[in-house]
Amino acid sequence: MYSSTKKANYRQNSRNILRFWLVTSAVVICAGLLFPWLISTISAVVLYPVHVTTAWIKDGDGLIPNYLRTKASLVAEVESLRAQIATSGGTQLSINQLTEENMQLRGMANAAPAEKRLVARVLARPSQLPYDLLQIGRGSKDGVVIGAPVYTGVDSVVGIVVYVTENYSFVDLFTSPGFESTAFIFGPNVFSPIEGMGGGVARVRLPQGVSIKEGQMVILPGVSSGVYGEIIRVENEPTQPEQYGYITPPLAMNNLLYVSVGLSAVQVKTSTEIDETVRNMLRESFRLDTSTLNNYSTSTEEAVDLENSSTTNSET
Amino acid sequence: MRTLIRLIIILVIAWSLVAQIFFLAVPLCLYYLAKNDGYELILIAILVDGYYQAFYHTPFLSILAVFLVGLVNLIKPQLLMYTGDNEAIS
Repeated sequence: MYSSTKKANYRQNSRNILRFWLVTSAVVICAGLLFPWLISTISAVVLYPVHVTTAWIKDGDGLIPNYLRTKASLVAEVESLRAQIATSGGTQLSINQLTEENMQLRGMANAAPAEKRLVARVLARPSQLPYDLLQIGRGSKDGVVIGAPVYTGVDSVVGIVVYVTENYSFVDLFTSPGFESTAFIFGPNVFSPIEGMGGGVARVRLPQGVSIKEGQMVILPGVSSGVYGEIIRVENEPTQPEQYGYITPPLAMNNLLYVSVGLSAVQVKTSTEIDETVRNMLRESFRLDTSTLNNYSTSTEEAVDLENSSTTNSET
Repeated sequence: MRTLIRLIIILVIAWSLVAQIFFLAVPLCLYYLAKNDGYELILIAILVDGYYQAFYHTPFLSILAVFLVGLVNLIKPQLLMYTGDNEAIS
């Protein structure tokens, strides 16, 4: 078969074409460098369909764009969202912790001025220590003595200092197994023996027929006039001669960051003093909180002021 | 059919360069250069540089395309099995 295009001719032609393209490209590039806005505009117009397609595939919510998106990009997106959630969760946790710490410190700052106390940081808790003990960061150097009561909040006593070193102390919690004392339960208003069960739980033992319910407050009048905790569960078997109420302190031991320590050991109280303490507590429970009264009186004054001002306005 | 395939490849190259999917663009460009003269790639490169406003600085993609297309078209005839000058081609 005859062909007029020989390889030598073809090479010559292709070199000419290459030369033409190279020269044209160089001219266009130089023109583009001289007039960049012109070439940018032309490119934007020519590549507009490509741009639209790219945007549709990258950001579109349709079935096809979602299908075309690579698994890697979706996994990366999920990972970044998880990281965001973890970060925001951590921030919220920090805020909660600081709020709790703030509330505890505020509570201790408002502690009864009659008794001088120290604020101590909790170094170790029952989950970290083998027994129901707290380790606090105050010792004999700060004035802590054996037998001093330890409080959470204003008046909730949780234990007694049992071991003191120069810089730290150990607190035996009332929920330690073997601890025994006398508790007073508000509601049925009865005295009852209380015994530590371990794990932050104490138990009161009462005969059948005494009405104890969940939520009733319990105090240890022999130790402090403050509230110890509340009954969280009642175990009552009608066939048994006794019923049990399980008590926990108002704040879980794992949440304790600060406690306050009395500077003097608990004095042994006589039964008369204990009766007096309970009577005072009962009387106190009938009183309204002064801050509540102030709120009511303030709101009433504001209402009267508002009424007066509206009357004056209408007259004018 | 061959023209249609070339057109599709060119469009995919343009799209992948605009979308900056280089792992797709580079092999396609090399394949296109191996199979064709590839002068269209210079045009595509100039347009993409214009799209990204590279002409306000230095249009690297265009320069690279010119260099690559020139080099490939100069080398390609040397790699042919038959180099006789009087051989008839279609």
